[in-house]
Amino acid sequence: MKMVFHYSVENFSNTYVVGPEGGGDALLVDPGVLDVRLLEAIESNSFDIRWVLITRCQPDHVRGLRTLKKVYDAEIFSRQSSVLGFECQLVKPGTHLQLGPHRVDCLCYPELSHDTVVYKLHNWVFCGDLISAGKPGKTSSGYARANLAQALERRFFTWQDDLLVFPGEGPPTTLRSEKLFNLARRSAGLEVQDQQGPLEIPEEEAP
Amino acid sequence: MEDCDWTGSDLLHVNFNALEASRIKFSESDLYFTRFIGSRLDQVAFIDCNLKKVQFTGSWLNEVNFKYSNYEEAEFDPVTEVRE
Repeated sequence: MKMVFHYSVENFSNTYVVGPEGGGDALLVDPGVLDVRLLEAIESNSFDIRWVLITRCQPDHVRGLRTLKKVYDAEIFSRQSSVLGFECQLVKPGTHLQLGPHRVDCLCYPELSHDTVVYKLHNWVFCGDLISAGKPGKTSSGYARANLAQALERRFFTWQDDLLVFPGEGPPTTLRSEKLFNLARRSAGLEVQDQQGPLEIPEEEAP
Repeated sequence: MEDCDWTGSDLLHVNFNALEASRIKFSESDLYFTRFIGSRLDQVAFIDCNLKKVQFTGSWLNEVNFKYSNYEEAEFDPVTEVRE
């Protein structure tokens, strides 16, 4: 399995494409933009986009959908039944999707917004706006922030440490480092004690 | 990270969160949208760098030099502690 990462400087949003090593049916997370660079990356890997997963129905996550649908006949999954006029498969909280060989777990976080979905595929988590590296998702009030911090604490930071987290904005991160350093935990005084101790860096062998 | 020199480096969109750095020099480098959230930066120099949208939220900065750097839209929130 291979992942292609695309960063749009127009939306400051990330798009991820996951497909088999030698090419074939692929899934795309958040078509914030479909520009030449992303199209080249998809085509050079011989991917055929069959499934589109939307983490949030905001323009910076879906703006490229119209172009994408002109090129690929992809099935769309989101928390809304329709996005930009395209019919979607409605994602239900706590369910999973079987997309070809991939099992994708779907988790919803209404504490951020009614249409937020987090997709977990193997040990990769596509979390959209739920968090970005070091920070919780943006909320409109102190109450919403506290509510989100509680949801993260109960239903996100409880996952295993070795998960790789791919946010909708900003660089990738790991669940372990978010547990230790995310400002959502720091502001609530909830930094966890690192169970594994400091990261061990293997000593380089002498040539 | 200590005594490192990043010259002419392409470091955009990099995750340096919770970094403990002292005597680091970034020069003529692109750090667009890179993150230093919750970091400790001691005697770090950003010389002639692109620091647009770089996030220093919740960081502790001591003797940090931003000479000739573009830090437009960089985030230094009230938690950021900067010592001259």
